[in-house]
Amino acid sequence: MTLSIRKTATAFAAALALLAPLGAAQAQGIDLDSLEVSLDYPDPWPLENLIEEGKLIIATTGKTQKETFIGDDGTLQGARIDLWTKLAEDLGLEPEFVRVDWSGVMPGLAANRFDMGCEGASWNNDRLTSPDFFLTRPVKVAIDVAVVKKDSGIESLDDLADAKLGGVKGEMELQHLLSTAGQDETDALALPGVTEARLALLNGQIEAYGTGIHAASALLDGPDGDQFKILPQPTAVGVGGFCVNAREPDLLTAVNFLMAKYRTDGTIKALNEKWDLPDTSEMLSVVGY
Amino acid sequence: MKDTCMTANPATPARAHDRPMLELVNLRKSFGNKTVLHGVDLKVPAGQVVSIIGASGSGKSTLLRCVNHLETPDAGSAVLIDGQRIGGPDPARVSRRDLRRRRVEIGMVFQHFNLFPNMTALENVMEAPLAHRRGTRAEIRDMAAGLLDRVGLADRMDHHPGKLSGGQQQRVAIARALAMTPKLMLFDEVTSALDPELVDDVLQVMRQLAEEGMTMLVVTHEMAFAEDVGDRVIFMADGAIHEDGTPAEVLRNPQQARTRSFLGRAMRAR
Amino acid sequence: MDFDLSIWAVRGPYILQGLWLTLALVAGVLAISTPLALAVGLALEARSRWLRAPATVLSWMVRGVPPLIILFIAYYVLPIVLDLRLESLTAAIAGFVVYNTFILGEVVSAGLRAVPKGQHEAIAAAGLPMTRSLRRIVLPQAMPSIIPPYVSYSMDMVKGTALAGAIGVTELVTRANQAIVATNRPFEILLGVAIIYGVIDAMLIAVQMWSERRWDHQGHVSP
Ligand SMILES: Nc1ncnc2c1ncn2[C@@H]1O[C@H](COP(=O)(O)OP(=O)(O)OP(=O)(O)O)[C@@H](O)[C@H]1O
Ligand SMILES: [Mg+2]
Repeated sequence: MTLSIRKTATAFAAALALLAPLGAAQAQGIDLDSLEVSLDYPDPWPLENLIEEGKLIIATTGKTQKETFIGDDGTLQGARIDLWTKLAEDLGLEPEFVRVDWSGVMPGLAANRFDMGCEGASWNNDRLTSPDFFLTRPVKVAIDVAVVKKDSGIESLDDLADAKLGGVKGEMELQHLLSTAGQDETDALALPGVTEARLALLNGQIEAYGTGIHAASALLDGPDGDQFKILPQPTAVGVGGFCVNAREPDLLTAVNFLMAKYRTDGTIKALNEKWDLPDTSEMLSVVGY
Repeated sequence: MKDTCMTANPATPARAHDRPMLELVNLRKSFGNKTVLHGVDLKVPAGQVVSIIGASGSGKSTLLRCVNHLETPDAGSAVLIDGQRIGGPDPARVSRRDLRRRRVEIGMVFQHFNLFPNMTALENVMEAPLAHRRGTRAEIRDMAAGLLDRVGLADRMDHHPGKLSGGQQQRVAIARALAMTPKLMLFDEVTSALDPELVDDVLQVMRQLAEEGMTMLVVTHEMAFAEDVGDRVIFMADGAIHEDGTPAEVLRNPQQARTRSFLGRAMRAR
Repeated sequence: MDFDLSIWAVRGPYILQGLWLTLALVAGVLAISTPLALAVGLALEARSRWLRAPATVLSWMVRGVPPLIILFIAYYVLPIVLDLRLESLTAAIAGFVVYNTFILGEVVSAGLRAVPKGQHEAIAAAGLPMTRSLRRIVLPQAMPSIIPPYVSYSMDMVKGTALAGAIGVTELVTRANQAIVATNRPFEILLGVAIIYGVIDAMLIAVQMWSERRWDHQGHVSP
């Protein structure tokens, strides 16, 4: 546990240390816009603790639209799959995707089954301090929202106090909706998956569905999407990243480095655009990178 | 009708009277703290047909079942077949193999036949000799067919038990018990479950067996059978032998009040 | 809402590959757990307390655990405690085998208990050897009471294989769910999956009817 805190803290300390001399340099009149920041890294990156040599084993649900899902041709695809594949290639590794339910991702990291997992796990205290895995630098700003039907009469978060709320069981997004509305967990309808939540909203079994901005926009793009709308104020804003096996601190360093690189060189942004995902990569500077 | 085993059983070896075919020594049996047999002593010479009578619950079945160890007698009891003791001093510690070897010397026929319903009459009779490799399959088949013929079922050999009447089933069961050429046969109320008109066929088979010199222990309510076929009648009460003698002695002239009252009830009941 | 089964033309092949995985899982589990269940059933009915007691306790424990937890143990706990990392499918087979061995073991044991006491007495009185009598007399008579619950538990198992999705086996339901997420066509896909399960059930019922005829050719001894 202490190990993961220390690692995350070290990453931030390093980032701050970089910024301090830069501030000083500006004072001496160096034109910062023309500077080329060196992002050299070892190739291949020596990784001592991989589960299988030469392989990056990644757990994914394969059940999140646009990020990781099965395409018409039966293959696993999406923005995260592309990013992980690039990450593995840049590390000189072959990516291997294992499709498990969300409930199996973190146990699998603890059990040393996967090197990496989570397609965008929101940072929270439990996860930041988990002895079972490290959280990487974020890949997105997680904006949690409430989706309602256009004809529901619900216009703002203030109208949610007496509404029937729902979402996917175990997701932070549902928790955030509930605490925003001041409701108890026992009053909510916790559904097994995104599809069920969409149908519950369509059928009026719930009046508001708490989910992430990505899933919400996918909902509006999907069938009957014109019946839904997203409430203008978010229920919570945080960041979400990947998880790395706690036995592999060297992999965490490598992934964090590459995430910084992908954010800087526009890889994340390009992938979000390719897969029509709301791009939040510019906003990641709020957490210092 | 026979008066003594010796004259009526020409097949019996001459020495038989000095070594009984079955000997029970201090046979005790209790279930939990309830004692059902209180130290029974009994010698049965070869070829003798012993009828066992007594009220319900007096321990007749238990006595029979102790003979072939379907119930394990209490420590201190001894069962000897043809002079050989089953197991050592503690009947509970007999090895299974030993037990199997001794059990094939004893044929048992049950009240409810207990035929194997998934086998034909012939297969029922063949099963034990096949399992004990008593010859080639063809030999065993011939022998089994012969036995079924003797009990009057030559034309029913390929029937499964479910297709036979109770009396026919019981005769198959007798043939099955005879298939291992036992030295001793045990019958436990073998006609009680039969319709009255089927009883005679079964009794006829048993009578024939008695005449051939088989040593038999017959628990029965058929007083006529006990009188006509038996050499000896034992009256049991409360887990002990209360009267023991020839059919004429026990059935016609009982010495004990208990025997008299039991017989009185048994006769009236018919 | 429009209902368009043509989605199966696109997604069908991918989902149906999951069917083969489901069937392989069921076949593998039944093939392994059936003989084991026989052993467990015999142990549960054994005369020796040293066989009976551990079998009873173990069966009681294993059957008390939800199968999903057993799968999680096979896939996520074994690597930690035994340093044993089974493939998803192997772990699923192992987990289901453990569970089914005891479920079916109880079925076998109940079947053995249904054989009348008199049969055992006849076997003992004739000095028949145990193994042979088991095979030729006791088990054939236990079969009629074993088959219906055996088939019905097998049906449960067919449906229960969906749990294996949790440990990375992309069986039928997992693939169907993936397809639903990707296409937003839950009704068409779920209807198809329900039909597939219906067909499997029908086949199992046919197996049951066939085997009941096979084992019930004799009628019974009158009491
Ligand atoms: N397995 C057993 N456990 C406990 N008690 C038993 C058992 N078998 C027999 N007994 C008891 O032992 C006593 C003698 O029973 P047994 O069957 O030998 O009597 P029986 O003379 O054959 O009677 P019946 O004429 O009714 O057949 C009865 O009181 C019976 O309840
Ligand atoms: Mg009796």
